[in-house]
Amino acid sequence: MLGEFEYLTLTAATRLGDHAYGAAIRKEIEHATVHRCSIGALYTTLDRLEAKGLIKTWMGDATPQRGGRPKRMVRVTANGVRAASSFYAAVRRISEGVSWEMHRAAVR
Amino acid sequence: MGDAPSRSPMITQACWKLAEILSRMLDSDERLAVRGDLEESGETGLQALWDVLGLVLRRQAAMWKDWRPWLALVGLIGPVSVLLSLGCLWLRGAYDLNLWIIRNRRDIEPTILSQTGLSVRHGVVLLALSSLLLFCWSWVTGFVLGAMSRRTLWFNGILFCLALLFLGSQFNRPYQDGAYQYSVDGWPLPLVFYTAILPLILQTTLIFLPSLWGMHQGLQPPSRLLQAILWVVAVVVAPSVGSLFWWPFHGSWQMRLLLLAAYWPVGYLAVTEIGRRWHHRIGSI
Repeated sequence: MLGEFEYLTLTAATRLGDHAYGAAIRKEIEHATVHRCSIGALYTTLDRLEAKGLIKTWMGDATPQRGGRPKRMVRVTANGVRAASSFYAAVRRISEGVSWEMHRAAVR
Repeated sequence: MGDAPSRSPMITQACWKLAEILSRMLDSDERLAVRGDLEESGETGLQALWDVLGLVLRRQAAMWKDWRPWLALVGLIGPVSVLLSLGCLWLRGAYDLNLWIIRNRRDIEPTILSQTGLSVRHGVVLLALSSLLLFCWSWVTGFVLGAMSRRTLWFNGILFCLALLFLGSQFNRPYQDGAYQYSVDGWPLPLVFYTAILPLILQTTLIFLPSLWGMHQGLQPPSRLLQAILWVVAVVVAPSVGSLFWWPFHGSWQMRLLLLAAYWPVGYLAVTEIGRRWHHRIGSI
């Protein structure tokens, strides 16, 4: 079973497709969660996902806006797609019948 | 790294500089990717420093999940630094005694020397072999420390050197109240050489330098030459390390227990080398 940050990383990488690399994935996660994503958390998660065979990473081309430094490119593998899909299905199943808006109002 | 416009450029520049220095602890590919990401994201100096520090700490913590750096830390740095320093102390005494014999060889009755089993030739051979032994043993210790610690070597290596420095300063104190037991002052060098400089030279040449060389070699991929050196050193060290400590701890069970710590780096070398050959043989079948 994936962790929530692993799921976020896999989903962001899938959404970005051929343009998935460290800084872009980080921006996607920050945009979705409205929280700062640390580089340490992202890079160690990428390592963990790669060790599990859920993504593949390699060093890409250098670009001028990065000071001529290469990107760590990311591609989600078939196993990664299956794992993310399974995690999403579990979240959907467990969320069925639960309305967070209603609970939030009840707490108030 | 890029420089973000900032209210306090000096602090920002210092943070970027620190982040750059810290990032050297990362793998070269990862360092480049991270620095590129930070530049592309337009981070401030402080944010960049925080990010790099977080990643470096995570990477360092991950390295300590392995058992080998811990074994090097607990089993090697403490006990072996003590034993190496004791070996150096013993060797210093041997140098003192034999230099005194050489100095006074004409005045000493030859029968006294033969009765005590001491002679100039015996002394020279003893000093040469003991120095070689201590050199090899320090090298083996450094090698195993490097091979086991790998990327935690910066921590284990510094700790090992600090332990050697501390123990050296404790064991090799210059003689108090000027009472040196051998009257060698002025021959061929002043007394300060024997009491202060000689111990320093012994510690540096027979412990520090070979240990550092061994650590460096321990990080390299093993070549055929290095494997041959390892076997020669192991054969030299294994049977003779215990003999360094017959004096003054002979019979002490604590010392015998501590001596086990002296042998295990050699055992580690032998086991890993046998394991490597075994895998090589199986691979070639």
